[in-house]
Amino acid sequence: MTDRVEGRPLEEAGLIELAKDGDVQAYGELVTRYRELAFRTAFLITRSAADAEDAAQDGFVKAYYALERFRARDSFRPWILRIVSNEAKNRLRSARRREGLALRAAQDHRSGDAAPSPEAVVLEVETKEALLHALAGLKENDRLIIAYRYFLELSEAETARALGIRPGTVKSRLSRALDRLRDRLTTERDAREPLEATDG
Amino acid sequence: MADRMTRADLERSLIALGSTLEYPPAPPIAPAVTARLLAERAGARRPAFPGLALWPRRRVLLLAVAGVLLLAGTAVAARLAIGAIEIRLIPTPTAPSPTAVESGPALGERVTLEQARARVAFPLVLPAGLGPPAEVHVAESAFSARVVVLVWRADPSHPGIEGTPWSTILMELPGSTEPLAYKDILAETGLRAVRVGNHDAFWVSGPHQLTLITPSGEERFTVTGNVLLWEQDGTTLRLETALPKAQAIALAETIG
Repeated sequence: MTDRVEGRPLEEAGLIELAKDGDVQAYGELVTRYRELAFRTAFLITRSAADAEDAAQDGFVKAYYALERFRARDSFRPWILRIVSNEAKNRLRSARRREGLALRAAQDHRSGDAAPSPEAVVLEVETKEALLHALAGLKENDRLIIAYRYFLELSEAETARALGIRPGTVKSRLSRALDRLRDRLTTERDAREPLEATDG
Repeated sequence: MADRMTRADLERSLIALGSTLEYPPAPPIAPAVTARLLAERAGARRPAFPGLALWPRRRVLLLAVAGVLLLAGTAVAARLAIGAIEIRLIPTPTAPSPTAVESGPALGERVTLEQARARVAFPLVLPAGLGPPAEVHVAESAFSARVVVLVWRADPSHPGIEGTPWSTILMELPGSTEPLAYKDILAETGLRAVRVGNHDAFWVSGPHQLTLITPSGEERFTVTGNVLLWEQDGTTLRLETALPKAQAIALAETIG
């Protein structure tokens, strides 16, 4: 997992400076760059495309007015993700609904795609579904730290900033989240295989 | 009891899962965000409706949000403007009832098509199949730019725009880097990004207001029809009809 903080720093810093001066166009450019990541993050939390879009939009608007508090030496990516994820969590809380499991994993690789990675081949469909199911049962913060590290591939430092926690606590929190995920996987597997579990 | 996965296995599986997750396509987001920011700024800097300036910022934002949710799906460039027309989002029409766009004198001086052609610096374009316009008007707008308004009467095969005798109102404005007109859309106004031929366009349905910036100030009009806004060959076009979107676009594509 690589740290991508250094990605086009000058250009981005320039856009942020322009946006701080009230250049809405420049800010729009930043939004365009981060919309996919922001939307995916929000979607991983809300599991609804409509809520994710609203959360991303509201998050970007709020972030614009908070730009004064953004420090130039920081990375914009975790900063915006923290704002968007908070919006998404608020939306989830106010909506108080779980629409089943909206997250899906691709069953087949679309034609024209590069060959699947060895990991993807190893990962059985059954495991994918079990993982998705177990993830859906985790608490928001556990799900989010796992999503940041493994799905969105944020570095530990970025994950810390995106979650608003101290960098030193990312490892331990991630460990605990993974433990709980493993517990859920085991419990759910046992529940699916009651006979085997009793006989074994 | 089944074995627990090792942590390494779990991490590998999660990374693999991450690479196969299906997300819904991310919507454009940026146009709506910039529209909201511009709408707020317009409210703060030069309020079209003075009451707006006195409201707390948060309330203005909230109202702008209501309007902007309709923007979901807009795919046009960040600045919400087409040629010389800038689209602004406003909460509610608090101004005194503006003139209907259809009322004669407000459209400017009535002229013939040929006179209109002679008086503007851009080539006038007409839709095919509607015949010659019933009336042609030329209005002065800001920066000495003239705006041409062409209207066609309603008849059994061309439904009328509510409250007007016209089936089609075509407004042509010179291309401009400065807005010559604002379109103020309300929370209940629909705004969609569409294409007219190869051009990015906006489809505005439902009630809204059109403000023309004239040498003597701003002229506001109420709009009841459905409007397409786009720019082609340096001319900004605004086509108002009672037609649904697909038919309006088909008519717009005959203009040239």
